[in-house]
Amino acid sequence: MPNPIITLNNPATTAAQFDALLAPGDKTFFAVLGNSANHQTLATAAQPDASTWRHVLLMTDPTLLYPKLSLMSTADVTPPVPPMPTWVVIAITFDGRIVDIATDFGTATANIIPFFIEAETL
Amino acid sequence: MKRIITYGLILMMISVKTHAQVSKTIDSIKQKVATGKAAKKTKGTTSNTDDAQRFFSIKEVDENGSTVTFQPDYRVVDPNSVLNLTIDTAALISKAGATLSPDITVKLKKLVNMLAAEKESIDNVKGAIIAYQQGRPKQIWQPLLKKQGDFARLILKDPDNLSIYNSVPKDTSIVSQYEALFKAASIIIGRLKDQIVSQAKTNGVYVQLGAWLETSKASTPIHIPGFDSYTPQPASSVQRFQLVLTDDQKAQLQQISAFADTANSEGLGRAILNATQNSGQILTALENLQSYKDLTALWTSLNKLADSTQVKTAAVKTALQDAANAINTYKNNVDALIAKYKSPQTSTDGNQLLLQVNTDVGLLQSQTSQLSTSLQNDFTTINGLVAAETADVQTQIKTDLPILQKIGGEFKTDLSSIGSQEATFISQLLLGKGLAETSYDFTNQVNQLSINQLNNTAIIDLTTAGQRNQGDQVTIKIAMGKAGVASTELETEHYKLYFCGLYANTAVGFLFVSPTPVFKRTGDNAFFRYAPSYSILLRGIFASEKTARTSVSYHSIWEPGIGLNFSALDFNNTGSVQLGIGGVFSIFQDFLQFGYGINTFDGRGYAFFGFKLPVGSFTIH
Repeated sequence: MPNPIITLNNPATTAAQFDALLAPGDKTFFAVLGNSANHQTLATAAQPDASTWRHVLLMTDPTLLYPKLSLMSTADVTPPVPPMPTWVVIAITFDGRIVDIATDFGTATANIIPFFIEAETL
Repeated sequence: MKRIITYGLILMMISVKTHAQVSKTIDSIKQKVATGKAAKKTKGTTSNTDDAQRFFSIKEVDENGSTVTFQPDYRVVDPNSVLNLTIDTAALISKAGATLSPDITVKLKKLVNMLAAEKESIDNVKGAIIAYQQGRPKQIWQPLLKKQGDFARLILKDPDNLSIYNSVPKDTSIVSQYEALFKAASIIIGRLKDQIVSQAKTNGVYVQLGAWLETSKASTPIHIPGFDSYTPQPASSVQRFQLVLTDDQKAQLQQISAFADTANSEGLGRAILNATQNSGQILTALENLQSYKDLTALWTSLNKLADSTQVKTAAVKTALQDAANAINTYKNNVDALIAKYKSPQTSTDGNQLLLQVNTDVGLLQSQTSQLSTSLQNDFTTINGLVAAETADVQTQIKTDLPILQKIGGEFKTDLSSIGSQEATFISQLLLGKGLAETSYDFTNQVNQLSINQLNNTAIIDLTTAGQRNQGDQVTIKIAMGKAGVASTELETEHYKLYFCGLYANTAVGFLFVSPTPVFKRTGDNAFFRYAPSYSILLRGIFASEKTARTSVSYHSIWEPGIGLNFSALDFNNTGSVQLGIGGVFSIFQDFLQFGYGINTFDGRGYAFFGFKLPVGSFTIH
């Protein structure tokens, strides 16, 4: 049974909720940052593959997270820097590192499974 | 009698128990010598070890249709079998790629290694899922996933590989998504290999496969269908059950019989002395060598020319005289040696005689080598100056010059073969049968095949390899080259030909027979009587499959056999021959035999031990 999509849509609490999700270190994330219909479509498309430790994270207002994202450790990928593109989809590991980034809908949709695999192995 | 049997049994037990350790050491020495010899002759990899890269594997089908899959440490093959080779095309492609496209080769190697780890990898992923579902701590299941990091990076971080991965069908289960990684790796490997094969074809890369049968007399190529244009030899089998004495053995038995007669009538010491005196006859064979006769004729001709007034150039005259003098000195030495060994030796010390023969042969070899060098120098001098002489002199000199050059080499070869007979026993015992020198070079009858033309199977039928015997050797070599460049050896394997199952053969021997029990002996009776004998021996029953295939020394040194012994006895010293039949155990290439028999004429039992003797000019083989 796949895990439900985790939606962070309260600007006041998004950062704290984000930290709380990463703290245990027992989850990986396919994180979709944005609030368009396509963002929602992408999250919905990724959800069937989000079983066991895998989770889909939808952050509808990621603006407040961008500074945090810029400071996160990365592996095998160039870290995101402001100004953030419209589309940002990132693969986050158990220990909170970013290991892949997609900046358009097409690439992100094609690489749902690869992002999950990278998040749990790299 | 009991004591002899007891000693024999103890010896048998010790030999069986220690032969494994000793065989291993001897085989190791022999392999080092063989590897060293082969490494001198060829470049590249000489195998028969576990460490070298393999480019082909072998399955042997013997004459009974049984199949044996060769292991890397096998060194023995049945002489009547068919060898089915499977060529590792992937290894050849990697090798070609290493030269043509190092980058592709590196990727290919990583992907091949990845595929090799597929089962373990999937098991790790399944293990991680189970542990997570059981609520085990993350320290248990997360590392199992981390182990797949290199594979994930290899496939998913390369845009081309990622594209292939995304095209492989998979479902929402995590296991199927990881299985798809390996399916993608397999597809990518195929594409990379195709790239290398295409590049290899463009660059004229080729592969050659060849085999040789090496006997003591010659080394001949073996036809491999599809790989060369040699003509296969007429089919022949090595006799597995030889129950009748060969012509050589019959001749040896006659000599042993004469030896035994002398030993019985005049004592063993006199018999040995007579035998060792004959070893000097080796040297008297010199005067019958064609090389020696040619040398004599050349000396006459050179002397005549040097004394002739027709030769004008002083340097030519001097060189001719030098050559004639060198030959004359050498000939005098040879003549003196021949005369020495033609006269019967009066010394009673057989050992001293053998040593003297050995010394004289060594000295003669040294003198021959010096003569050869001296004649070569004279040839060079004369050749350089001959143009200044008259036409008649030039013709005469040119007639003599080729002989001059040739004789040194031929005589050295002839003499070397005489000297080597003395060393045959020791070298053959340690290194096995001496084989003809082989350089393992491919001739133009061996096809140069591109990788995509190559069959990945080859058949070497030993029954059409030519006349062969146990102790001969088959060598298989595979090599790779490029257009216009000679091929480089990739792998060479050497296999000795020995029966690896039951077989039988005959052996002759000189027996020490003990017909009288010790407690019944009187002071006048001899402790032993001497008898010629032959045995029919069954062999191959003491070795495991592994020993038979891996231990050359088991076949070439130990060669244990058990069977029947037939001997010509004369217990009562009356000159009338009595037939003895007994059971015999033989070891060390029949150098040592012992057993117990019955004199069929008077019913007396006897114990015996026996061994081979170097009688007359026949050599231990």
